[in-house]
Amino acid sequence: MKKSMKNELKIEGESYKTQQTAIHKRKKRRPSRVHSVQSPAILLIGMLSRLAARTVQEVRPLVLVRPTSTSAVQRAEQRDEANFPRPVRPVEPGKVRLGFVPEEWFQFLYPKTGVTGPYVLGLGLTTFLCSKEIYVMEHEYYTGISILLMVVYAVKKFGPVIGQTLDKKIEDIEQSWRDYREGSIIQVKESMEKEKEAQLSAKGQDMLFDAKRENVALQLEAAYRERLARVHSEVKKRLDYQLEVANVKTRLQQKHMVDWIVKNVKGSITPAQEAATLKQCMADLKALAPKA
Amino acid sequence: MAARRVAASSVDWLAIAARVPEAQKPLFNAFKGKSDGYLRSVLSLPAEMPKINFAAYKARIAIPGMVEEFEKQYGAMQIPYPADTYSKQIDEIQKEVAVETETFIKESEGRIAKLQAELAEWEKMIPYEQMTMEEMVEAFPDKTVNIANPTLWPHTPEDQPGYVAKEGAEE
Repeated sequence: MKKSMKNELKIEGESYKTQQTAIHKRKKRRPSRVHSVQSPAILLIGMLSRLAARTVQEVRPLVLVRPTSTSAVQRAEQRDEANFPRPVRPVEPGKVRLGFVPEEWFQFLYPKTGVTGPYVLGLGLTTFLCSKEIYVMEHEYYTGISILLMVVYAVKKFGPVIGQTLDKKIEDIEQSWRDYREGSIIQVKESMEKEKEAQLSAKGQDMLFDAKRENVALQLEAAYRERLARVHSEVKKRLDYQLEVANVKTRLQQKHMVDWIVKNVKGSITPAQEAATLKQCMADLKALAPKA
Repeated sequence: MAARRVAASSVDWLAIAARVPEAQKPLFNAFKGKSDGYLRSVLSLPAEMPKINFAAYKARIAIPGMVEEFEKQYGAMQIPYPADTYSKQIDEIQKEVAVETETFIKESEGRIAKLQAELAEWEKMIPYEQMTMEEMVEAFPDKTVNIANPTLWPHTPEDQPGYVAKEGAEE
């Protein structure tokens, strides 16, 4: 497959402009590798190489070779979008008829030979090749047919499933690229937000100083009030002390006076008075008793 | 100054709290706690000198002239307001902090400008599906292979010869 490899490298190493023209003219591209009527084997090789080239263009790894020159024409900012539109990855494979013959060939021959032209060409060509034994149908040919049938069956049966799995994998890869981009954008925006908030916080430090000054004032006020309260309590204490002293004195004087009066009265009661009082009490009691 | 301040908080705590970053919330709470403590101690004491009922004392106390003497001196007493030694320091520190804030804001603006440049680049970038290899190399020069200066396997910066570890990450 040396030819295909050569074609691969050619596409990759091509300068930007020719690559673009190649893509732009994909629909009308001549099969440049088939210069004359050759065996279908070379046709097949040509087909595979083009498929391979297209695959290389479509599914690219993220790390690739730096181009050898990046002149102003090839810079992204100055690209001529009208004449050189950006390549878009095709979703469907190129249209083919009979499974392997490109649609472009039919369109190419349509003006000259109409609808049946390419079919007639193919039929006539194969008849010529087989009858003249230019294409020899020997053992390997029949082997090839059998293998072809098996391959067609396998592709028809497993193709869609495998295709979907692979497409999903590609989609995951591309999604991861997009997520990286979105994530980066979000991160940058969040960083900007945080910076703005930090600026706001820094400016808000000023307000703290008012709070600090107020703290100092509150402490001074508290100390002043405490002094007032202290003075008041000291004065009150002294006055209360004097008051208590006076109270105690008065109380003692009263008690003493009472005791003295009682003592004196008790002492002045003579025995004769006591007997007379007792007698009087008995007479009163006797007078009261019979009445009950 | 002999002027007395009001016995209530004139600071907008909500506005300050809104600007405090998450990491310094405990510090802020401690500061507010202290402030509230001072306010509480101020409110718990009476604002003016309490009155003493000298008439009652005069009626009871026998010592002549004592209560009148006390009354006279009590009324004439001038209690000095405590001196304010800290306000000047606060002003100085506020000036220093203002200067620091200025420098910080300038640096922050620089960072924002860089971030905006980065954002503009991201926004300008075309979708990956439409990029060619050359455009990819322009968009991510550090992630693509450079033929002039190839990197050795594994292709991480730490494993290349001549790598010098940077002290502290640059944002």
